[in-house]
Amino acid sequence: MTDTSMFGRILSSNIRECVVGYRINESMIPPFGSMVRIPVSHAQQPEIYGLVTDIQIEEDGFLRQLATNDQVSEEVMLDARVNRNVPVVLRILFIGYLENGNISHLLPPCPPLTLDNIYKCTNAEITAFTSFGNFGYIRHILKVTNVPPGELLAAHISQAAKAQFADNHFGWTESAINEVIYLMRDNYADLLAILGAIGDADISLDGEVEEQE
Amino acid sequence: MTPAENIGFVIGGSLKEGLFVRLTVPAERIQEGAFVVIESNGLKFYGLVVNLSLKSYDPRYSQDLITGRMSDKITTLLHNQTLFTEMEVLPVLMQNTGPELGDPNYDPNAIVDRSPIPVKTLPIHQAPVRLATEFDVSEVFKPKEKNGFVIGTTREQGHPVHIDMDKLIQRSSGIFGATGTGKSYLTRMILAGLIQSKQAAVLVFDMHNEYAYGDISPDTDIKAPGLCEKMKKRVKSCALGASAKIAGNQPDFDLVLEYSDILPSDIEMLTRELNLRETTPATLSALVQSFGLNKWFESFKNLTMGEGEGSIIDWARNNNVNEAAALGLYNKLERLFRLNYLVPKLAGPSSIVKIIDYLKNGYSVILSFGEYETDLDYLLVTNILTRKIREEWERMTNEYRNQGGVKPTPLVIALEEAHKLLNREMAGQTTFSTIAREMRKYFVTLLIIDQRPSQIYDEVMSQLGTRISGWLGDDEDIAAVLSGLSGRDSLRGMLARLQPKEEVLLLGYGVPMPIPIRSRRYDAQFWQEILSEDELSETDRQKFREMVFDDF
Ligand SMILES: Nc1ncnc2c1ncn2[C@@H]1O[C@H](COP(=O)(O)OP(=O)(O)OP(=O)(O)O)[C@@H](O)[C@H]1O
Ligand SMILES: [Mg+2]
Repeated sequence: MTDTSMFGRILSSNIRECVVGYRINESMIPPFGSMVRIPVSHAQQPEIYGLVTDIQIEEDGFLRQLATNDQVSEEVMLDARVNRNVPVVLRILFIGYLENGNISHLLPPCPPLTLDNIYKCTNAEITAFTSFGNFGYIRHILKVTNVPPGELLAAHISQAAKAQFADNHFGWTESAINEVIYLMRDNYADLLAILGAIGDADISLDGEVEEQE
Repeated sequence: MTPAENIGFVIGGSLKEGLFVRLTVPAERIQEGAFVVIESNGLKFYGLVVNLSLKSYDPRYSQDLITGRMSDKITTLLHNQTLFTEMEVLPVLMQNTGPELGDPNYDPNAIVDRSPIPVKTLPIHQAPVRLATEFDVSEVFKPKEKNGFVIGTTREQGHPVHIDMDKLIQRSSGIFGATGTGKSYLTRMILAGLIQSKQAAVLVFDMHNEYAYGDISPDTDIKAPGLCEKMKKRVKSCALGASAKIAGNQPDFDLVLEYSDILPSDIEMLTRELNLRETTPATLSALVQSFGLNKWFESFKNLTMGEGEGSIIDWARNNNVNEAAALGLYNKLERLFRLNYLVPKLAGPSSIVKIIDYLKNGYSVILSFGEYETDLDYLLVTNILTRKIREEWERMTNEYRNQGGVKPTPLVIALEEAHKLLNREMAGQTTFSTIAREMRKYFVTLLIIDQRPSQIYDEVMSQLGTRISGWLGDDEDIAAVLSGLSGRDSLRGMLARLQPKEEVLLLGYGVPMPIPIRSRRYDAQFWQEILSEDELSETDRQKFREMVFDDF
């Protein structure tokens, strides 16, 4: 949990998700589907876990002018991308929280406050959260509405699988996919779409071999 | 597969339809007819797998071939959860196992009746299902007292299956199956077990000369020994006809009948065989009238052709018998007059009496027909002999009942090609149907062996306690074997799908529940095992007699 993994501040939030303003100078933009952590600053507040479900780069007023120009110099382009008035906005789906050292896959009891800091999760945090219980948090992912759930799930499983492999948990991916099948088998079309996405993510099911290569 | 591994769980069912079980192991690991156990709340249910069906969570999972569209691993995971096998189980028995040790309801002093009884209730939803272990199989099939005989093994895991010899001989039994399914081999083993246990004397009507000195299997060219070779002290061989041999072997004695042994009813029974007219009974009774019951056959034979004194025509005229009828009957009986094993009078003691004496004293007798292999020989000899046996056992039983004394030795008459004697037409006329129906009261039962059970009179079939059947192809034969049993529909398929050789289905009153088994192998090891069994003492034998037949 180093400070370098901090990347933004909360702009707005509710019980299910929050929107984060990205401070571009501090670190690399966290990719779609990656797991983040919001340590709520007040006492007795849990630390919330979430997944990046969207990354939005909005127009800041100057762009329209720039876009009409035939030639945009390198310098201007860089300046427009880095020194922006309007931040890059990330949308975070909550998938659980940590309270008094105990992980829960329920939604957080209260949302984070605005301007709270937000961090990328380390492998250890990812492994601890995703190994806890019996994949209860997957239900939140399957209910996501702003992106196709399969895409989000594929991105998440692929990140988590790497963390799990690094920790020598080789059966995790298979169990995760089994859980997805179990939850979704009533819905043939959606399940096949999700499995298709997972298939495209090229996740190794028995990571040992691939990780050593 | 370890024996106690669960293979699935109950997902539904009813007493009428049987239980539905979702398999958690691949379908190919379970076979129709497998013996399964379901444990549920202190009850143990024993059942048979009667059907397997492929099911899917949604039909599209089975209908769309997604292989190739996804990695094999993901496809496998998907199929594992969406495609499955449903197994239908016919629950047959249940057993109270009482609360487990450690259960709050466990009472160390409670007496739990653990004997398996017919199913009266159902296990709970999702009760685990497993294949029967060796313990389960013996719990159900092994008689609690002695007198069990290992007849074969379960097909999946080779656990020994016992039949209860007491029950086998308490009522008549049948061994069926198409040709070459192993009936005669199996019968030989069962008889060996029976003889060894000293529970009954056995009389075998050995039409094909297989039982006394064995035969060479046409399939394997291996010589399979007979009962007389292996159990010389307890089994006597008898050949039909003076100084006849049995496949080159000298029998212990031979069977020759006297003319006086033949009664008019023995002739009437041959009506079809000899193509007799309707006038025959009248002619026969006139013959008995004029010559007496003991002399009629010989006297008739001695009448001459042509006319004048001592001729058939002369006799007919004097006795108000139609001449043509008398001449006709005489012609038909020529076949009997020519038989070598029929003589006017024996010099020594009657061989029928000898057979009966052996049987009464607990010896077994194998009567080989040698070269006399026509239906006429078989019908005539078996009927005369059985009639005399019946008279003797009835006499002994009545004496025992009325005056006390020794119980008659239980007798089992083994009958190959039983349909010849027990078909609808003959059944009324031979002694055999009487034996099948009521002779158990007189300590005589039949073991009938046949390829065509549908040809056997249904009233006889319905009396059979233990039925053992190998593969049968004909629907009517299958129906005959299953007549009067519950769960017929399920058993029908099982019977039709037995291996063509050395697999049989055990059925009927004599077995606790139906079960398909692989027959025990008839080989040197069999004999070694059988002959090494401890011989029962005489007191055991007496005890046994009292035990088996005390329900009359
Ligand atoms: N239990 C067994 N042990 C060893 N061989 C067996 C056994 N059962 C059957 N066989 C083999 O199968 C062959 C046929 O068996 P068997 O003679 O008993 O058939 P069957 O049913 O009596 O036929 P049929 O009706 O024609 O008399 C035997 O010759 C033997 O090779
Ligand atoms: Mg035979």
